[in-house]
Amino acid sequence: MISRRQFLIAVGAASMAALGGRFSAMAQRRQRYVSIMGATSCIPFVKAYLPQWEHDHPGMTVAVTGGGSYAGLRALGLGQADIAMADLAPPPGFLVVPVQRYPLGRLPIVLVAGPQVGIRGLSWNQARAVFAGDIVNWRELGGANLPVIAVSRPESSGARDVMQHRILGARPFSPHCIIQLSNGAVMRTVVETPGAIGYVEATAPLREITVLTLQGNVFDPTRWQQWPLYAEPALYLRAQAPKEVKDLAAFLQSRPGRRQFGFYAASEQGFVYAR
Amino acid sequence: MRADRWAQGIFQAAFGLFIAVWTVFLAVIAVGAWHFVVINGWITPLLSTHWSPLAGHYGMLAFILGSITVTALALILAAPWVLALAVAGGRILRGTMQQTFIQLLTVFVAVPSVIYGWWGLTIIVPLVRRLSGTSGFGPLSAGVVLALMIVPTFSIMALHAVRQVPSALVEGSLALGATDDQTLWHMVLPSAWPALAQAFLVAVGRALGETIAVQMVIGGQSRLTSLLKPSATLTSQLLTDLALMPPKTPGHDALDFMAIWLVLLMAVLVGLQYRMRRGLRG
Amino acid sequence: MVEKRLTKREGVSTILDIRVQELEVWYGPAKALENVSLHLEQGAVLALIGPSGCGKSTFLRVLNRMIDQVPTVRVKGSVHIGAFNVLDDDIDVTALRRTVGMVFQQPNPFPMTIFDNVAYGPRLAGVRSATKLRQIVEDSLKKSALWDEVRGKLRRSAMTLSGGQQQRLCMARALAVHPHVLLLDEPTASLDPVSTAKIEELIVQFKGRYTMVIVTHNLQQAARVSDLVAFFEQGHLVEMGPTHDIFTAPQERRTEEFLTGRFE
Repeated sequence: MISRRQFLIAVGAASMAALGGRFSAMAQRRQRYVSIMGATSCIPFVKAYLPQWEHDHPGMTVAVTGGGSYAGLRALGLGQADIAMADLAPPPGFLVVPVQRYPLGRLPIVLVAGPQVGIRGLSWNQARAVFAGDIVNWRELGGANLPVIAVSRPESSGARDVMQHRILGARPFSPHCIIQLSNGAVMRTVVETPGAIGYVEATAPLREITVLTLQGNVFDPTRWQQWPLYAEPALYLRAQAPKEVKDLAAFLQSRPGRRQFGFYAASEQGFVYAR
Repeated sequence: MRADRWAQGIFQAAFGLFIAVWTVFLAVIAVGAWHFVVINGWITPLLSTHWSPLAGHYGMLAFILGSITVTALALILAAPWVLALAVAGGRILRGTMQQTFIQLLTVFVAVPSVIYGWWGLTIIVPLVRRLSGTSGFGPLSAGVVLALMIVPTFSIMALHAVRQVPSALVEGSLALGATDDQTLWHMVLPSAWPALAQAFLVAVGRALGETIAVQMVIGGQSRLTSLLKPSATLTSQLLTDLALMPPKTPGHDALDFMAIWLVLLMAVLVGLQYRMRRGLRG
Repeated sequence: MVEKRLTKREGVSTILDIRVQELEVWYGPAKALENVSLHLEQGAVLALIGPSGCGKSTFLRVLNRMIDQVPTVRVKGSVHIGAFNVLDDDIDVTALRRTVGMVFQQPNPFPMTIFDNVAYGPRLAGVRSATKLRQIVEDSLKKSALWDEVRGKLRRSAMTLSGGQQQRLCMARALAVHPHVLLLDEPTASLDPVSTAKIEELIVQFKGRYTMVIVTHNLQQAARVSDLVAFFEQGHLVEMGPTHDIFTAPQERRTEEFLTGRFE
């Protein structure tokens, strides 16, 4: 049997270990180590260009972690991450340190439905009525006689944030929405469920699924400027960030050819900042 | 002699490390939960179903009920099947068939729960939808997915419980003229009961603690009105809102409070089982 | 139905004889018994002796078909116990095992109360009446000379008894279903001398009331309790005869060598 003294020593040792871990983490950051954290929608793009930057900056190591926009911004505020990826604007008061924002462009968000619903598009008002739960059967919109099953993302999602501000406004999402955690799960649910409608970031391939028009706009990747519903992902860093960190953010921001990741760059011709 | 002392040291260190690590785990959760209780009280969140963490409403009654409902459902569905599998694998199958069956079950334990989630999304949810006419997302689907998920773990433990019944007892029963069925019900299962109860508890723990597989098929709403309407469990909501409320945000303490509740639910079950065992022995 | 049959049998003292002809037993490809024939008069006590692995336990387990528990076993020949054709595929094994009780080498009390241990067989046979069960339990415990030691403690776990008491409990448990034949598989092998003496006393008392077959490694025990002795070696029944004759003037050289300790 373990004695009480051994027990106390063990507890003490464990707390020392926890503290030690924290100090060593701080020491590491003073070394040549950059950590990026935040929205999962940005990860494929960021990861694709990191090797190039690391090659140009020998000895630097970059770690990329998901966790969502809020977690990234929170980690940035606490000094646990150097760069936050976020596809939503931090709510007022969320960040207490001064930060710099490096916009990455636009990330279109499209409304998707299964083919059975029998309609090709929605107006802004209809979209609001559908996601707020006012319309419960597609018949009400001239579609099939199928109950509406709205699929949404959780509150931490940047896409949901865009939907809330641009489509629903002051109305909350219907409490009958099915919540899925990822783009992929939303797509799968919409494909599998007759009468389902959802929204996804247009990073994923849109197969087996109807992309609805919005107020007459057709989603066309080659004419992305005309698509009215999008998130604006950005990198955030502390205003007093070291030179290397700022350099990395500027490097990522300036990369062309990120369309394959669903991003439409701010530097591309015809882009107009929405804010 | 010296080797002996070394071995003793290693065993004591292992135990000490266990105590230390889990004390830190519990302490971290408990500190968060304590912050939460200081600000929100502990009774209001338990009696309210209004969950809107960004607005400061932390009613988690629906999640607690959801966890209990889904877990109970999963065990009700799984237990009879598991018992039958345990008897088949422990007393009926012999030789290579038995070995293969045990190996298969062991392999299936390793299937990650997200696979069960996807699989529930593409098979169970449409099935429930077709049978019920609802969306198919809800505690019923979650219960079915969980039931299937715990079957391998639960079966292996139950199978070993049945197998460890001494053959002297089985022979003693048969020699008195008991049939195989009578021996099973009056000798094998009662003798295996303590180990079966242990297996049951592990299954409860697995079901209660599961996150992603449940989240994918339960719908994710903070209500519990029907087995066929979207709802949530403590764990599925924890998973959903972890990204919304990362550590060091005010809402994160609510998640710690929820985690404490999971530990408490489990502790109550372990205590109940202990009392039942003592009752049986006395 | 079953209860009725049991009740009817109780009063009548039908003791059964055992007739074995050309019995052969294989475990897979290995022959365990070869061409064993013997006849045991009702009420007699037969001791089976012989070196380990000679087939005496196998023989015992054929008599109540416990041999069926071995998956690869094959049995040939004929075995009759009273009216039972033991090796018949269609025989009611349950009825056979109630008639032919067995006590094992290791005391195997069930993990339940003393009362429930003894009542186990009668309950499964359909006895429901509490009064009747109590009567059966008391009778059986008295027959196995355990009653005075456990009266008033019947609700205690059988595991609290000493090894010798446990073995007498197993005797009582076997007696509770009113058998006519008792098979004893080295019943004192794991007991101390005092407990052994008590079991031997019981066997002597039971003479004439039950036909008994006892496997033993203890030659003095065989000499003390049995009427007849059968010597087995490598699956063969070498010699069988009255106990006194076998111990004083064995007919076979192998028997003599075994009895005088010059064996192998």
